[in-house]
Amino acid sequence: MRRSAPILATATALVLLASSAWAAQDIEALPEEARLVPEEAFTTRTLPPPAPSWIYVLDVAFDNLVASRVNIFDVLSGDFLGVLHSGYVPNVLPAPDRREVYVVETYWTHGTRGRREDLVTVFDARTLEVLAEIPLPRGRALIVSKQPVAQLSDDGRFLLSFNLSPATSVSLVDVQRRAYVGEIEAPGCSLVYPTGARSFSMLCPDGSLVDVAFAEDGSARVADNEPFFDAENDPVFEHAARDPDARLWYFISYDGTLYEVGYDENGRTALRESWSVVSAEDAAEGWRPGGWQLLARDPRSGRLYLLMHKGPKWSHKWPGEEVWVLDPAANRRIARLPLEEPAVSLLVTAGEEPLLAALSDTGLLTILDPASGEVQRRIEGAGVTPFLLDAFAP
Amino acid sequence: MLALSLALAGTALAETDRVTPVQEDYARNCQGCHRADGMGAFGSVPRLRGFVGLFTQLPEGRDYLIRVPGVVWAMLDDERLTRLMNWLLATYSPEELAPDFRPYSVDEIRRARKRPLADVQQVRARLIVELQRRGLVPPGEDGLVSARRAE
Amino acid sequence: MFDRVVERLTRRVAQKSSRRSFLARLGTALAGGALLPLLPVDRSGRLKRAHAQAFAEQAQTQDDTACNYWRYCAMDGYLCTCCNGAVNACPPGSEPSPTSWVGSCINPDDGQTYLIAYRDCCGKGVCGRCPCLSTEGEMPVYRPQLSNDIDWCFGARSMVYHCTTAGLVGRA
Repeated sequence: MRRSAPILATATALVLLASSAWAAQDIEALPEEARLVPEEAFTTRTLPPPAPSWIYVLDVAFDNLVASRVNIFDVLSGDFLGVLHSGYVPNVLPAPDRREVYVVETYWTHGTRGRREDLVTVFDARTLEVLAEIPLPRGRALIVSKQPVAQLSDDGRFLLSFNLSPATSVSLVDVQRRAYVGEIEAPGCSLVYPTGARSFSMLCPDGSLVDVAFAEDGSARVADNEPFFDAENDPVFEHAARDPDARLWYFISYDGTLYEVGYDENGRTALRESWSVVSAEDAAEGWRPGGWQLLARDPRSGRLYLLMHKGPKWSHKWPGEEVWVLDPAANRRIARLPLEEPAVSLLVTAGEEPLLAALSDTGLLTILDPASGEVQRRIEGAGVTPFLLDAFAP
Repeated sequence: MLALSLALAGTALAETDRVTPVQEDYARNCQGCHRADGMGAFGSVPRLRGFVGLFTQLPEGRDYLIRVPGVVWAMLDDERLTRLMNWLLATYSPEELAPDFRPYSVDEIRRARKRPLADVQQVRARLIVELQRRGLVPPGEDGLVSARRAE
Repeated sequence: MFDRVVERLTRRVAQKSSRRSFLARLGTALAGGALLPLLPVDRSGRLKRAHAQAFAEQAQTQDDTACNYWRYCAMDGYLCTCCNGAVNACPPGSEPSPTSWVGSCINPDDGQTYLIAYRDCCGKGVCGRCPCLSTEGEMPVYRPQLSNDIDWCFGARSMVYHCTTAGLVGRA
């Protein structure tokens, strides 16, 4: 390498000489076919300040799991904004300050082979460049991407990543300092449901929650509770919706019972109430909740949106034929919105003009008016096998 | 002992071989990770065979064994879980049991299931140090490093 | 006892699907179940039994590359038998996971219930042939022994999932 350096330098000098000589010539003197138009100025684009109408569509790429990607759309305009390439069964977490996007992911150094690496990648939300990579020394749970596998603390400072080895724990990452802090053990309980800036809860096999309060140094206190649902006969889905102002999480069960679990400023949880969104008549017709990210909350109206289909027991992953609009304050259904194409995941955007996004796992993203159910827009090619929708918090 | 030979034979059973009810409980609740031969999986699942009985030699260890998540959350009632735990110890680790080992009682199991360990790894690490201190396991051995490596 | 048939552990959902959603295609894996009358909330396990029975009734013992092969009653993954492996062998270049999940299936030839160990082959990318899926009896991730969505290559040299086998453990 070093020996070739002088030769390279000489070659470069010759080229420079030649080009300056050419520049000095009158362009009119050249044959016509050589009269090139001066090249246009060239730049890399930067995204505008992130808006609540931006949606990050996670395509898990089922037929080639190591090649997942995140397609970003502005669902208000329908514009494709960019892509983040990601690793094995990742999680995508837009930061509350809208400056950064975190991707929790797993790679092998040679694609499907080599050394395994688990990390949190910090992307700049506007340039989509990588700002930092934070290794996860305890790995992470390899679960087909679901939102509660990794979450942010309410102040956005800590990222909480679930581990399953198959022992369960949570890795604590300080995204502000770009540092792994430590591991919080969980007594066989799973997933992460934030309940504050320094607290979260996890779901246990018996249908209870454990409440975890942690400090910046990674020390934690774990408190258990009585079961709030029947895990044996009617378990709740992993995907839940949250009302941060009312301090509660909504969980929906396979058979359609909605559980409203409140939490206090210390992150201690308690069931507030539960009711069935499926009437006896609905049940007789076979209506059930189902899909993947099947429950969403409109942060402005407080209404819940739930994917429903007709099917037998154990059809809990069948896509939704309809979206049922629920008023959790009155414990009643407000509307049924039929979908043109069955959907697996839902999200309601925040901001002045809330929009309901319904994702089919064949790649169609349908944008509806959350009040009327009227289709506003169809975005094709949102992914090959997309599963999750993420957006910036209100 | 038929049960033992079947358990250790793993998946090499003939189609006509019949598993006993307690073997079936082991197969459904434990075997997936700890394996038919009780050798676990290197680095992630502790071995039972020739090891798990050691914990009964420590008072806290006896308690530990029935408060780990896999036991606490097993999909078995207290009676069957008690039978399974006692069978498991007698089958996979009879040599390592405390000399005065008394089988677990249903009451003991019932109470333990209400108190799952929140810090399993820390408790286990502490118990391993104590077993090493007493010379019951060699330095470095923790039941994970000696578990079955991928074939 | 047939309600025990519903155990399974990992899920590798399908590949790129046909026209509708591949999650919808799970419905075809549940064909037996889908034919049953739709009953309200079932707390007795009766439906579970009915589903297991339904699988056995349409199961066959000849073709282990078909999703209704009798051992696949609790299968969820790509069939290794379609990837140049076997019900008890991994395809070339992949390795069996030391860990597995255990369910039980009825052999329609003799009517007996057998314990089946579903074991993933790991260390290679997704095989992608013969997805065989069911969500019957499937539980959420917080009940990991019964959740289909977890990569169950624990203890293998690599956690990269390739396909799933169905080895015989014994007669229940």
